[in-house]
Amino acid sequence: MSDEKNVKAVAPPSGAVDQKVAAPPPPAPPKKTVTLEINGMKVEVEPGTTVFNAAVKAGIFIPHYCYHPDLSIAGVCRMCMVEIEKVPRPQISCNTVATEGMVVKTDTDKIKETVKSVLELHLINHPLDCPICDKAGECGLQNFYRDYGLYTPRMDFEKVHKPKVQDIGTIVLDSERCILCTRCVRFTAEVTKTSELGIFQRGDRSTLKIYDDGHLRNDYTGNLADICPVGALTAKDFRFQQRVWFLEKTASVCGLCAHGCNIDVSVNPKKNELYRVEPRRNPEVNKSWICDDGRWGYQYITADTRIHLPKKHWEGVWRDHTWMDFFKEMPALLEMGKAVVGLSTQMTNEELFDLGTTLKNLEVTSVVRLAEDEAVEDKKPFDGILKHRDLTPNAAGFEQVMKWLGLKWLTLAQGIAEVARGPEWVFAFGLEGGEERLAHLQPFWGAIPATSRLAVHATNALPVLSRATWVLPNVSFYEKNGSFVSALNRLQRVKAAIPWQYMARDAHAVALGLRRGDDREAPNSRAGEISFQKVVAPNTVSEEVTFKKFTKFGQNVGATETLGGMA
Amino acid sequence: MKLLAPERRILTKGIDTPNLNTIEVYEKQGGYSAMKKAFGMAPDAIIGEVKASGLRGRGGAGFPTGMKWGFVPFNLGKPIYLLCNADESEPGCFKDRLLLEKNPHLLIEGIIIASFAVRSHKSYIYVRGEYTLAAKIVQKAIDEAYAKGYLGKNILGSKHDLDLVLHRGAGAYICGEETGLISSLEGKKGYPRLKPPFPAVSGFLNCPTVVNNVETLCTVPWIIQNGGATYATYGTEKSKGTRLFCLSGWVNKPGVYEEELGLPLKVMIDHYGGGMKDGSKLKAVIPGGSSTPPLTPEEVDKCLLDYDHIATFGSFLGAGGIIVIPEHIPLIKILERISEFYWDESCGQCTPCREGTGWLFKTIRSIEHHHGHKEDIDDLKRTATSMMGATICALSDAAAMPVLGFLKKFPQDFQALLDEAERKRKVSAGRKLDGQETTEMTEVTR
Repeated sequence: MSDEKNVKAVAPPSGAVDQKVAAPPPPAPPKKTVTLEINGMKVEVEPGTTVFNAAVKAGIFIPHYCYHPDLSIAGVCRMCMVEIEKVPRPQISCNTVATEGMVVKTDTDKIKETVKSVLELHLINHPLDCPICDKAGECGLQNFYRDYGLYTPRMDFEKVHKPKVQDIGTIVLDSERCILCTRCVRFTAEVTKTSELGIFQRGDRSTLKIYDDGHLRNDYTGNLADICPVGALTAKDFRFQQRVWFLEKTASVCGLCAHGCNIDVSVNPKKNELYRVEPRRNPEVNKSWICDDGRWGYQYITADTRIHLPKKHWEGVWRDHTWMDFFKEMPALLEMGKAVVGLSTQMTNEELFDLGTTLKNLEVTSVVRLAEDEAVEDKKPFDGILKHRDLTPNAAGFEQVMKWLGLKWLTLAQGIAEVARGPEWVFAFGLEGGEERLAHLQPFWGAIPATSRLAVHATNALPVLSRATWVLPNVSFYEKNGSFVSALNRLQRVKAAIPWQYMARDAHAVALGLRRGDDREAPNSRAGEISFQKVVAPNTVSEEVTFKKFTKFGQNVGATETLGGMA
Repeated sequence: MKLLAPERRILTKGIDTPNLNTIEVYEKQGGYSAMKKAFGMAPDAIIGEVKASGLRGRGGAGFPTGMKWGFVPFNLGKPIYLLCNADESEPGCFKDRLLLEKNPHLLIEGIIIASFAVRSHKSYIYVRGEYTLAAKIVQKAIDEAYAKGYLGKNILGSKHDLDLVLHRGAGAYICGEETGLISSLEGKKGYPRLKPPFPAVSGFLNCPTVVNNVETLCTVPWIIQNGGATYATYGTEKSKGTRLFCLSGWVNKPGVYEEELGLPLKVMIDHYGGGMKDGSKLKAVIPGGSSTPPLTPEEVDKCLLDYDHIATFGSFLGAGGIIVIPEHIPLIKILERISEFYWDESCGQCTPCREGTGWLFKTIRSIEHHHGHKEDIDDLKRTATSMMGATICALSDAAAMPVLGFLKKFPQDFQALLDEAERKRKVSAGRKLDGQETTEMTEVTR
């Protein structure tokens, strides 16, 4: 098998690849890969790859604590030991570079014994307070004890005690549970470059602490709870809220800024309640991180300000209405030339397409992009890590969808000028979040003259709603299926983790209602999935891709393929 | 057995000359002439001489010095650093202290020659924090050397620049490990680093770095003066040259003695040490500092002090700290002290060492206090074995080796303590439940 590959390497089909190599012909061209054997399996890897990563490539799991794919190598937990032929003692695989012909074994009795004894050493001073630990169920110590341990404990001396519940900001630090893998120390030193955490003292008195008994001072603190393999760093937001085995994860994309970080949304399916948002590793977008805004920004979906029912302000009185009432009124309101329609870039491509089609059919001429114009142009994270100035997730998708539709649209600045002229009606569709997240729309609201009527489709109450005529409940991106195109021009899939709440309707339902004047198929429709397959996929990726089959890591579309500040 | 004649000594010849630590006296004794000779040689020729001498590092690991110098990549375009490891902290070792306090200029001369050989222009002496007197003396010597023009820019017109800085440690044993020393010198916590990369390629400030022990560097001037081949005539076939042995414990004349490698250990104790104090009987000897496994009296009779012969007895020459233990001192107390030392000094970076040293210490202490259990011996062995070779640096091994060594060579001593603990437990269990036979209470759960 490997011979075939070697032959290919020696005789490449065209000279283009080989130009640099071809200069000195007699010595064989430098090998581009290294082949090693792990547990009898041949693995071909790039030169410089560690044995650990080669094993990952081969699908072999090696237990580890301190290794993290997006942090530097510490080599301190000593769990990832492997046996290498001709090397007398087991070696750590995370810092051993694979060489040609290396024979590695990860499943010998010697390795099992080694891993077991190292695990035992990890556990002798661990408080074993699993019943009250939030990490229980996804804890490295528990999992590895089950898989590699199962010994009878021998240590019967008093354990080393260290400070327990310590408030360090958004995170609670329990130094006693800590196994000193230093992932968090490396995270604050290498990723956020704020270095708040450190290991104090030495020997078994080594204690993870925050400098000056202070607080975490970065915008990525939540990641500390994720990368901690044990329960030493737990997020305040999640503490004592839910046992992890009750949660189901949905692979989605964060819609709280333009970066499009990949996330897992954890929901208790029995309660349909969202408990936690975690980063989902995607080396090309967000590595293993998300910012705190993205992680804990989900609270607006259950906030008191959430809009539950369509409401109409008429003759000085607010009344609850049904969507049907709105849909009956709508087409007349949208009559040509009388209305300015704002479309939020928080809507998915599919929603934009459906709603855009309907508006086109109704011959609406003034469509405004409800996104901050300058921020949209800024394609790089402003903090050099993940955070974008544009807090809407789909500005890039908006442009593409409007191009497919052939629909002319106005920037927010142009839109402000347009509404200032005093149209009869102003519509704003697809708004998500509270006042802060939509602060860029302040000038837009301000420009609407008192004579114009306003209809707003939003998730949460905004100050401007007091002067609106129609207020319509929107669904959040945690509740809808579709896709976003991030500022990195990456098409990524948004998946509903929880069903629609109350009388909220997404833009598909609104578009359908406008077309048909009824509300029949609206709740939890699969319109997003269908539109993705029919419109978005053929225009971007391929016609054969369905919503379910589309890769959960997304795909680059469009011209630029810049990979954010972290790349 | 032929002993090393005083005039043939390499490191300690004339070491008791008054004021040898001043540059005048040192030069009067022929000091700094090797440096002048070295400037007339090619750097590679110096490395060649050191290679020919067969000099092995005197810090404990015994790595060939010339080979270490040969590993340095000279063409990386990065500065090369020469670090002198004077962080002598192994219990039982005090040889570097003698050289630092008595003959600091010998070290400086050695550093100048070594730096010339490895093309280093910045050198540090990392001296143990507790060596305050040594630090003062060496600093004064460095100042004198600067004043004489032996340090600084263009030394004696040789176009070789060298800045030498004395850096005092803050009292951590681990900073004597070469990568721990480098971390500490960089201003970081003294954590040893993963290898690869090795310091020779990427060490201090990520530049090529050579770390040598005080005694090693002090040997270099003699080798340059007299030739590597002459040095190689000292000692044995594989362990060449002389060494400083630190003799301590229950002997009449403890101290630092220079001898050729290959000297019988018995001669060291009886001749140099003046035999056992008070005519006590020998129980054990720790041959190379506290981390090396002990030798039994029978082994002591046969053992030669060279790198290879001592290895056949399962021990090491280490840093040359010979600790003589008499019959009347309980080995468990010595082992407890040693284990406590490593528990205290573990840097805490790698799990096996951080947790294992504490566990070993606690178990040994409980045995010493007659709280042991019969499983303890096996537990100790298992824990110590799992600590061997399992960590970044060798401190874990250093903590495990004496435990394994003592348990292997003196099992009866430990068994006696466990039996005693068992007896006490039976008695107390019997007392607690009056009226029942003590024999039924043997099953005391842990």
